[in-house]
Amino acid sequence: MNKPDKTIREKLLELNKPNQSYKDKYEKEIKKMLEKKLNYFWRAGFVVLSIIGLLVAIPFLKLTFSKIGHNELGMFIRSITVSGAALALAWMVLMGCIAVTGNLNLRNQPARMATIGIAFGFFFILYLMLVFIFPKALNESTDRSIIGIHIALIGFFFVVTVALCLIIRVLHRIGFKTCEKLLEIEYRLADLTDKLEGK
Amino acid sequence: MAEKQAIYFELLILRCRRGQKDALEELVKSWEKPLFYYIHRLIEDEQEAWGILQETWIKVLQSIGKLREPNKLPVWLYSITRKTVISHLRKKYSEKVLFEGNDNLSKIENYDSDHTFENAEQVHYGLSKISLLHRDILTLFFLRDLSIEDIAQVLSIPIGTVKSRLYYAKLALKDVLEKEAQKP
Repeated sequence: MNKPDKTIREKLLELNKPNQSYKDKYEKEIKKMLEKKLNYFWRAGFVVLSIIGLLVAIPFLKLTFSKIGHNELGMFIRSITVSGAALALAWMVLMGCIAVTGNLNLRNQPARMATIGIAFGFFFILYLMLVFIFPKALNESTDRSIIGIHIALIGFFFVVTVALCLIIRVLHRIGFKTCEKLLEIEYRLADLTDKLEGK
Repeated sequence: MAEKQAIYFELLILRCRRGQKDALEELVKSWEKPLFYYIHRLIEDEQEAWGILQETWIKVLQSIGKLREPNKLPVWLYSITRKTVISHLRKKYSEKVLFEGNDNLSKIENYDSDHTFENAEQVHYGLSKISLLHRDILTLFFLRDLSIEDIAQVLSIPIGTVKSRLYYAKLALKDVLEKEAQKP
């Protein structure tokens, strides 16, 4: 600041009387910019994505409650299918919310969508492998224990990757929140100091 | 006070980066008036000025993650605003015409450099009558958001040049106001 006297600044700003119709138009545009509303074409796209989430969640749930868990990898596969179903449902809800509200926060949601999307993608791939590749391999293989280890390793890789994605995302959010809280405390302290000094 | 303001800017920028809508609204609300005043002093057409302000906000929101020094928020905002205004003006006029000084300084004698412009209405009127070069720097000066060093950063010129340009701009403004006062 050049000088503590802000009077001339305030007076100048008051003198600049805007045309209300131009200002209204500008405010509408700014509102749109901060909260991007999707058109019907985009909303329909998000409805489709939501339905895909539901369609993927159904076989996952079916697998979870089916008799697939008879061999020693049963619990492991079941935990994967449960997680897969949960992520598919989360995807369905997220896409559904965007489709219904038409709000797409361009700064906040992509990260959340990417996290769920990546996790969902990994589970979807794993699901395809479990349904189409592994049963065939199990039938054709002569040494089932090696196949079992392969499945466990691949599954472990997917689970670890998904877990890492989620942990990084959570840590990132915690970091931001902690920093925000610290700054809020610092700001309050500075405010109190100013008040005590009689400024 | 400066420390408190720096913390406030840091907190606001952090919240904007997190995509908090209320923080983005707060940023826009607290800065739209001075930025619009600055734009409107450089661009006569009000509709165009609002359009430029909107364009400025698009740039601000797109690049808010790149702001490394939140305490420099005013400098950053005015820099983006000025660049947006200049790119608009360039479409209309050549660079030479843009910031051409047209003040006949030799005519002004015995000028008190510490002259303070207390009458906001006169300043507001006078700003519209001086050259774009002087209007640019004087508007930034009167809006009181920036120090001389900050103005130098916004205009991308040395501090010494800011001081001399301010001196001549004040001379020009005083000249305009005196001429206006002499009118019957």
